[in-house]
Amino acid sequence: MRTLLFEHGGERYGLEVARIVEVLPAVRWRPLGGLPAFALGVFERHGQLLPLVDSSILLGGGPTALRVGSRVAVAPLAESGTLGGILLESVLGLEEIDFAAGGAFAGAAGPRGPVARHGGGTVQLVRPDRLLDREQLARILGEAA
Amino acid sequence: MTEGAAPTNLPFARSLLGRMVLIGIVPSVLVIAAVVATNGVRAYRSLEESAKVQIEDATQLVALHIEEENRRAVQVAEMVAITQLNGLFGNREATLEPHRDLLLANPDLYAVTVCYEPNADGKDADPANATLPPVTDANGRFIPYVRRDASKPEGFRYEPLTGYDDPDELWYQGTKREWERTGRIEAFVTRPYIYEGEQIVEQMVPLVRDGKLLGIAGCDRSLRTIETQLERVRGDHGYEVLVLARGHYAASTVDRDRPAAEALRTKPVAGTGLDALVSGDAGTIERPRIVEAVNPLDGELSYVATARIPTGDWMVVLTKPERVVLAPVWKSLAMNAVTALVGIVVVTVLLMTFASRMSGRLRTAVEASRRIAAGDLSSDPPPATAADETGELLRAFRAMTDQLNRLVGQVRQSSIQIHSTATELAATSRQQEETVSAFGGATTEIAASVRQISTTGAELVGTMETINEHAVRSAELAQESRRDLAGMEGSMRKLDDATGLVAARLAAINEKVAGITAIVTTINHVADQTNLLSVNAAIEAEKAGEFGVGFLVVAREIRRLADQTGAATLDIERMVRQMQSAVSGGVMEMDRFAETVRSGVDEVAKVSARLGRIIEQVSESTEGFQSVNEGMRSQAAGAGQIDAAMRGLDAAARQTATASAEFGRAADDLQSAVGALKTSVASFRLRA
Repeated sequence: MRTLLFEHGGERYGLEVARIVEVLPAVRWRPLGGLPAFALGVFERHGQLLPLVDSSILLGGGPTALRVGSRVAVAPLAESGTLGGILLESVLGLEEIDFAAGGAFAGAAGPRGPVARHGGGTVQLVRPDRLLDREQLARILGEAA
Repeated sequence: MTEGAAPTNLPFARSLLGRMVLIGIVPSVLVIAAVVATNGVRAYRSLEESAKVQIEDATQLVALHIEEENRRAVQVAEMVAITQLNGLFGNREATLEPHRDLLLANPDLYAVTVCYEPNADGKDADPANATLPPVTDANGRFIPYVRRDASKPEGFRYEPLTGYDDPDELWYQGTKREWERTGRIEAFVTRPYIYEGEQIVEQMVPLVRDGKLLGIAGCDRSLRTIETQLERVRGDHGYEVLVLARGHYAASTVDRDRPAAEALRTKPVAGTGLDALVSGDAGTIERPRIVEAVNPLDGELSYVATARIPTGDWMVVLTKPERVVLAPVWKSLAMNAVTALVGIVVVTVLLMTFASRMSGRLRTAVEASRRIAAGDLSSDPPPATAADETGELLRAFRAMTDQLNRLVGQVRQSSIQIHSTATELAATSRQQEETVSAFGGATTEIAASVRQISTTGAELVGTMETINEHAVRSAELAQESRRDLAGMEGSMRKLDDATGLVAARLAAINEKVAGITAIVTTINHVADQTNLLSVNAAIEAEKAGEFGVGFLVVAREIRRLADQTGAATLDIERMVRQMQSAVSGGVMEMDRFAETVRSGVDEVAKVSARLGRIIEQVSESTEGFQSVNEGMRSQAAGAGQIDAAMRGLDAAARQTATASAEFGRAADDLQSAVGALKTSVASFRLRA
């Protein structure tokens, strides 16, 4: 499986390339008041405003520290195909990783998927469409609209 | 008037008082001392003589007494022996009674005894012995001992003898041995010993019939009476008396003052130190021997008299410490000395009183003469109250003083005239002196001035040469240095300019480096964008499925290029930063160097200025020449001083002439004054 590798809090994670629409530089976004910490605000893509969420907070940690390798992955945030931006702390590149092979770990029902060995370490697959639960999604979409 | 504060300076031995003491007191003291000494010696001799006679008498007295006692005791012993040999021997019962009577009749006796040889009378086994008191031994040997016993009403008791077999007991074995040795029937007196607390001595006679010893007979005697006699002799004369018997002390007065344990009686003489003193020829009762020796018993130098007692071969020793003998001599000597001393003091006081009064009058006369000798006639002459020769002397003094007063009044007037004349003379002579000294001073001044002139000239020449040399050399050196400095300053200014140029170029490089940094940033940005683009291209290729595989490869290559570009830009960035720091370091170094160069230029300018001043100072050395001029002027002044001094010489000569004339007149005055004085003195009559 072709995977976009990114690092967060010293651990490596992967996003399935087939689920990503586009990768953007960590553009400027507009913060919105009164939202939870993971909802950073909204940004503009091809003339359309999309919500931006912080992967670091959603994966359990502090707010993302912006770096040279920081990127925004545009992907559907729900099965309905609603698009949104995910701020990734540091994108490492594209790699071919077999999460179905032996040693991989079938993850829970949340955003965290199976874990595979890769390049002397481990990588955990993250499902962008499961990053937010229904309530969270409704809230940011409501605000973004 | 007191002698001690005498105003005369004569030593005491030479003063009138001193001589009187020498003539009057010293001889009397010597005579008295001689008398006292002679008397002392005579008293000592006579006392020693009489003491010896006394000691001899006392010794004789004791010796005679003991001889008599011993004799008497021996007679008792002989009596016992005679009664035995003339009937009583063998008659044991009859023997006891006369023994008892003898004992009670002689209070000096302690016991009466006979001691038969074993079975000498053949009655040792006689049953009649049982009726006798206990006077035999176990074998029936007859050995009665009738002894005094104050505790019994009858005053005596019987008992058998003991110790007759002991060879150390002299009374039996000694008597026996003596008879065997000499064959003579003689009484044997033992040495004293203590028997049941009583000091006794025994007199024993051998019982011999037909040349055969039957036993012994004799008596025991207490020595108490002898000690009583010794005490009587000792009295308070300071004697100590000792009686020796057969090498042991029999009695002594010494024991009286000793504890019982140290008592001498019955102890052997050997070891007490006295044996050495009594060995050799002792005196006899008729003529005791007297020696002076240290008494070993008390360690004092003593007179020791010894006399041998024939009966019992005893000896009397009588001692008297010399100290006790001589005590009266010292006493009489002290008395004599005190009397003499008192006499001397009285004579001295009388003589001193008289002499001091006489010498006081003489001293008054001496004082008056001294005052007159010193020229003091104003005080009154001493009063002359005494009628003797000293009074006469003082009266003559009074007359002489009056006469002198008148004489001196006249002499004084004449002397006033002489005095004024003399003053004039002195003044004239002083003037003359001054003139002469002024003349001398002028001469000295001339010599000094001449010397100064010649010295100054020589110094002047030397100074001029030195100054000239120094000035020329200094000027040359200064000019040379100045030229060198000018060249050096130019070089340094050029160096400063070049430094400025380098600094400017470095600044330009710094600006260019900033431009490079901007370009590198741009490249970096492009590389980043390319990377992103490749990622998105890959994503698109993935979505295109199999159709996108070729595109995916292209996208990967693009991403690799972008990554390499990014790494290259990082290298460039690092190099540029290093270059920037190097350039800015160079700029700083150049600034510092330029600053050093500039300060060097300043220093050179300062040195140049100093050199300028040196040149100025060198030019001032022309002042040396001025000092030369001054030297010349002082030479001229010296010449002027010579001139003035010569003139002074002339004037002084004239003054000397005037002073001589005045001196002549003064001499005339003096002559007339002396004439008047002569007339005055002629009115005195002088002693031929």
